[in-house]
Amino acid sequence: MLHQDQLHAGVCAGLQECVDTMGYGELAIGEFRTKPPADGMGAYISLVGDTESIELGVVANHAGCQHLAGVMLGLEEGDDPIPDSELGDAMGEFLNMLAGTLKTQLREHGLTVRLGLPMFCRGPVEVSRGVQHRFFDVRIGTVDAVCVIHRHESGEAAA
Amino acid sequence: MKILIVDDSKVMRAIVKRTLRQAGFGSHETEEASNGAEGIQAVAKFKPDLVLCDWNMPEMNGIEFLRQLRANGDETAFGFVTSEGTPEMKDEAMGAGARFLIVKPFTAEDFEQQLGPLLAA
Repeated sequence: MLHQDQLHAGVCAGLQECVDTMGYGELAIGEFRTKPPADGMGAYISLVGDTESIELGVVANHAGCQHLAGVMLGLEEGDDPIPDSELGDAMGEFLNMLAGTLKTQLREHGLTVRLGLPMFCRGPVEVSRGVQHRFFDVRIGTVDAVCVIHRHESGEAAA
Repeated sequence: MKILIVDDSKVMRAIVKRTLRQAGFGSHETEEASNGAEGIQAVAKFKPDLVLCDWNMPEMNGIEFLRQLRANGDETAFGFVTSEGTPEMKDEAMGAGARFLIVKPFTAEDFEQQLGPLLAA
């Protein structure tokens, strides 16, 4: 079983790899939050295994999502913004890549997971019973975002 | 040469095309499909020299697409561009007839390295 701190470290390492490869600039990992972000929009993806079920998300405001997607697409100053209809697609791909790096790291801990298809949501994240939650601030280049990790309790590691 | 890009994400297809240009392969003709089922039709119609394909897609995923192609007797060069790069997946991809598996996030150098020998042929 993976300890929560190991999972957090894995997500941070995955974010760093994505930031470095896609040229977002600097990554800053911020403080943990006690509550999920109250608003914003974000993409989520599931990593499901026999003993671990994780939902991973990155939430930002509209401008932040536009910037994250724009960097992925190589947009420059003055280019037309990404249509909202494609913004979810782009954010989903960001989570897809992040989840892929995490999957590889989980494997190194002896955990095998499969990735789901990413989804994009607008609005607040609601926490549910029976699920462990961890929310922490991140700064991806110039974008302030919140990283969300939901984990099914059956996957809880011994403290 | 002709390159078929298969990914359910329109954004990712655009990123692949951009990376092809960055890697110096921008002169090649490209076509797009959004899943394996469309990919089967696109291969028959477009007759690409190379397929660049995602793994996780609705309707028909990448590995199913590749297996269907090979079952049809089609030996078109095929490479995966996917977020999942575990050794097991690489083995499965190569076993099914893929030439390479590029892991997202990728760079132009990744494309140069994997596609260069195929596109130079």
